[in-house]
Amino acid sequence: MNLNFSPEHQAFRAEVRDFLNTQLPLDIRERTLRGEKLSKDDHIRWQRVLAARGWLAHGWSKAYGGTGWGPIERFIWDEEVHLAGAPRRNIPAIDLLGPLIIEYGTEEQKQRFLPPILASEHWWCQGFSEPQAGSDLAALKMRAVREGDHYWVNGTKLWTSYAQESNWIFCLVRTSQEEKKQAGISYLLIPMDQPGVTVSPIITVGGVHAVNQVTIENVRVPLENRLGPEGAAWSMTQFLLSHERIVGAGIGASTRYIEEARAFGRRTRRNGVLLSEQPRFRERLASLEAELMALKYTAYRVLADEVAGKAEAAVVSVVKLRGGQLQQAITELMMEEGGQLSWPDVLTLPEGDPVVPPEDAYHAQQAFDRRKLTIYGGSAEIQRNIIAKRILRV
Amino acid sequence: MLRDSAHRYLLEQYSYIQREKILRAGGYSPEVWQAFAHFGWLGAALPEEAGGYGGGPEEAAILAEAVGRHLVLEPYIWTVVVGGALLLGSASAAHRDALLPAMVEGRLHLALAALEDDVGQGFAYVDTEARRVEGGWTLHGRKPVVPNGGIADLFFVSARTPDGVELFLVPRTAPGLRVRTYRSNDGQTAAELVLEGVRLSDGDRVQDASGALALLALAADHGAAAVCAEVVGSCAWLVETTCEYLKTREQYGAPLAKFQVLQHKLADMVVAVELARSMAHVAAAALGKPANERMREVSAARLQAIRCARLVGRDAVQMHGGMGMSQELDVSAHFLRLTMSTLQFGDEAFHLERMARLSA
Repeated sequence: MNLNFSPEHQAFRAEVRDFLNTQLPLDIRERTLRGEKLSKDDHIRWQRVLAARGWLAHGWSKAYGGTGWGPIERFIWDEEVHLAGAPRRNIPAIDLLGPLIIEYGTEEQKQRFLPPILASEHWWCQGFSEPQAGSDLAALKMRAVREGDHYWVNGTKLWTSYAQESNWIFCLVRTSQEEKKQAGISYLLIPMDQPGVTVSPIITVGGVHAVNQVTIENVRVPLENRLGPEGAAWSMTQFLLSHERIVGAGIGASTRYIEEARAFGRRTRRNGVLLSEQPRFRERLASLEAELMALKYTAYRVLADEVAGKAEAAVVSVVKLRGGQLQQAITELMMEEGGQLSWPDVLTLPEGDPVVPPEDAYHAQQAFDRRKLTIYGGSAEIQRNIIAKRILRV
Repeated sequence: MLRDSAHRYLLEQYSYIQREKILRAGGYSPEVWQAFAHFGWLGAALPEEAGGYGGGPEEAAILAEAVGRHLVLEPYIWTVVVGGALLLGSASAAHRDALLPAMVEGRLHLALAALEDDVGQGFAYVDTEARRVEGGWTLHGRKPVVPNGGIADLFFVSARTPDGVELFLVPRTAPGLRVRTYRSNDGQTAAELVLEGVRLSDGDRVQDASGALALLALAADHGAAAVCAEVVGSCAWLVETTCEYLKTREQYGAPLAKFQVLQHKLADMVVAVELARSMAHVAAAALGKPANERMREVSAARLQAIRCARLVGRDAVQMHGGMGMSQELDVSAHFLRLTMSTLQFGDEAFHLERMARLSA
């Protein structure tokens, strides 16, 4: 097994790194590294920089304005953006919906929906989960009843990330009540700025507003907003998930957290001695670095298999499970080693001279927020079920 | 009886919704505190000669467990358990005679400002200075993280003199004291103190260098023992709530409680709570023992409580799925409080080191 990237890929990494060093706005970078929440304007500002370079739509072919990158380029990109402190892009639009439209959309849909994504004019959220359909996605209930040239849509989506900043939502909806619950599901593309669409915030631990409940009441959606054939959404989603790559591993994020933890250790004293000079802290950090290395090379191995066209899809579950746990463990290390520095709720700290070092203030919030990594996108329990079923075949 | 009355009152008057209202109003309810005083809870753990009702650490543990179960924001542990221990141990009879009754009556809130930029629990790592002046002292320094600092009337402030670390009592209104308030991650009040030449008299000294560090260690152990009981209250409640949730929530055509992997997780939570419960009793009983024995047993109890708080807090959130992350559900608030509890009165590293040293 070759653990090294080719010279071409190494050159690509250098190019990406140089681009990030010179083009990522400093204020955005600083706030991202600190764990602060960015505004939508910040995200748009960054997306425009990426679009100008032709580096916004990673999974899209060049014909549609994408990068045409293969899995390895995309993997390298994910590592580097996290290390550099670049903000997230509009993932639901770019990494999920875009490839779906390119694969299943009509020519009209491609022309109507792809350019506004690249121009950051359409901001999309993903309407998958529902109150009674979390990990068991096929239990979804949002109904779309066909009447002439449109559907009437009714139902509720839950945990919709950044719905408060989106003007479009792509929803999984039930277009018929068949025997098998996986059948009769379709994709609808729904504009959010219309009566009947209501976004209610859900505030999570640490005072974060990232997810929402979206209710859709008697909303009329024209047929031309259905993506793919009626009732085909389940297989389309499988296509989507099979192309979902190992970004869930969060290797770039973990690498950056490790660096943060090391810097934290060099500036923080416990019992009068720097943490970085204390065996217990050093060993905890080394232990996590060893875990990160194992995760990283497992991800590389999966990637090599993917390029060779013999990927074992279930191994992605290994990487996702471990990746989430690792990010939790490193952020918890910083929170725990910070002692009373981790007590203040950063959202309530007074203005003026910082009460605690600003770079440490967000450690606790990050640790709380990272709990979601083993819940969403298929919980840790679901990932273990997949490993048991598809790798062990039990 | 104390246990029953505390649970009855809190069940009726301290629902999660009522707690939310208190949070929005600043994280403290004077009415609730007056009720605590009225029922005699603020003096329940104090000896009669100190104006209390003749109880001790067992009574404090009963109340702390109720505080944990009902996620009470009001600072029972900071004002009564820690503040009470510091007043009882004060070298000044005037402090004990005047301040303890006021505290028992609910008229006085206390806070401990003993930690600085050093992130350990070592009370000796203090840079705040107390300088000798005619008839007293001036204090200079900064205490960034003072729990209960939002509402405390009096602060116990540690400071360095040429003799070592000493402990002083500083009123909130003292000239030269700047208090900036904020919240801690569990919703309780906190503050930063900046001391710019705060003028104190000799009578404001609680303990001199011969006894201050020992008194601080004792008071922190009182706090630690109470937190052990608080964690048991919170975790026991989370186990019950999570179990009920798994029985009602259906996924893949069956209640989640039918999945053995989740049953085993719950079973591990029960094991953790039972061990922590035993050790919370050990910690309460240890407070009257000689220092080395006390510290060893309190540390052993804290280690169980810290591990229990982590395991139960995280797994309760995990098993509630997205709902467990949402502020709307009390599970997330218990998780935050439990997480913060692992960092108070000595964290895992502190208690491991102390226990290793005392067991050697």
